[in-house]
Amino acid sequence: MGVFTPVEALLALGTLPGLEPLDRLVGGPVVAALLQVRVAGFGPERALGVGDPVALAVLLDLGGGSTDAAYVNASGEVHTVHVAGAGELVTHLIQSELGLDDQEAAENLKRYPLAKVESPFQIRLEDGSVRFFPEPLPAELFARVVTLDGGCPSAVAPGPHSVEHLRQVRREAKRKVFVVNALRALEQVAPGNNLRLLEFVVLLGGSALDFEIPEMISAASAEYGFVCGAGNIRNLEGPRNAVATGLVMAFGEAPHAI
Amino acid sequence: MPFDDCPAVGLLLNTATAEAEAVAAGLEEEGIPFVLERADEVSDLASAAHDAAVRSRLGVGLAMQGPHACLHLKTLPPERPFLRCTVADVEEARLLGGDAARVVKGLPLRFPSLGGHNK
Repeated sequence: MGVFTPVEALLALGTLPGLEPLDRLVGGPVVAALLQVRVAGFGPERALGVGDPVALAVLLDLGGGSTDAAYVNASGEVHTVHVAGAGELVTHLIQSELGLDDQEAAENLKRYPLAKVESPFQIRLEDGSVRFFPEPLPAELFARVVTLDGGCPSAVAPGPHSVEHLRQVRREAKRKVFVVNALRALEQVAPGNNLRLLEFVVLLGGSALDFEIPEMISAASAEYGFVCGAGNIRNLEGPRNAVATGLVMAFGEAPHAI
Repeated sequence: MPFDDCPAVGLLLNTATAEAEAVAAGLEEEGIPFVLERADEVSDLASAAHDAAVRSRLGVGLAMQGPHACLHLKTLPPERPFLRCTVADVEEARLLGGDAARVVKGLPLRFPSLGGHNK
């Protein structure tokens, strides 16, 4: 791991999926009070195409259960904050807004873009563009709203709702949870609680892989003039597993702390 | 030969059965015109339905022989019907007729074997 250039950082805990494998790795229980972790090899300079990555960079961990932010100032001091509400909450919001019994269906709606099957050979995507298929789609999908996984219809959306309605519900849920939480968390860690003093925000966690959440946060950030980009853990994992990687690296360097 | 000058769904049916009447009723309920043609002996349902679809100005054709039915679109290859199904009773025949109309209207189909959520 020494080949990577780690950025000293604090990430508040609560992103439990990161803890379990470490548990096995160190052969003992991991104390949840552990706070100081190291985000390994996370090259924001590569992700963002800018110089000195440490100064004024903020890490924003968009997970399943919580949104965490960590700010490292130029002298290496770290501030963290942990706010409730992330991916799971978005699923719940979509589920209750549409009155769905099925959580899986809500999860699907959260994760994938929508399209309407207009004819056996063509679908209209939610942005209005049309995609053609060389092979006819099954009659089951005809005229229905579907979610798209990898550009192909993966599931029929529940209920009699239109593409526009489902899209609005989905984006509203994501905005309420992620945009609001991200700005709230950033405000708490930013110097002088002033978002305008931030320069770079690095998005981490599973929800940073979402097809629209980073873009929504980025759009909201325009007002404050900071730049958003997705992290790339150890230059290979993308934004996932940031906390797990940080914990393992922290353990490697200071086992007594764990 | 095209069915008619007016835009209509082409039906090739073994006429004078309750199912054939129900298919026509289904189309009528959805408000889509249709042209009914007597077809007592159809050797290949899919190609008959495709033929009806090609001759229909709406590009939709339906052929039925006993309980077996085939819904076809003129844009599909003849050997790949849009829907091939078995009609169990008059009620299903009515839904099938309705579905032929719903293809024209661009609405989700309702035939039981297509079990979707949208109504």
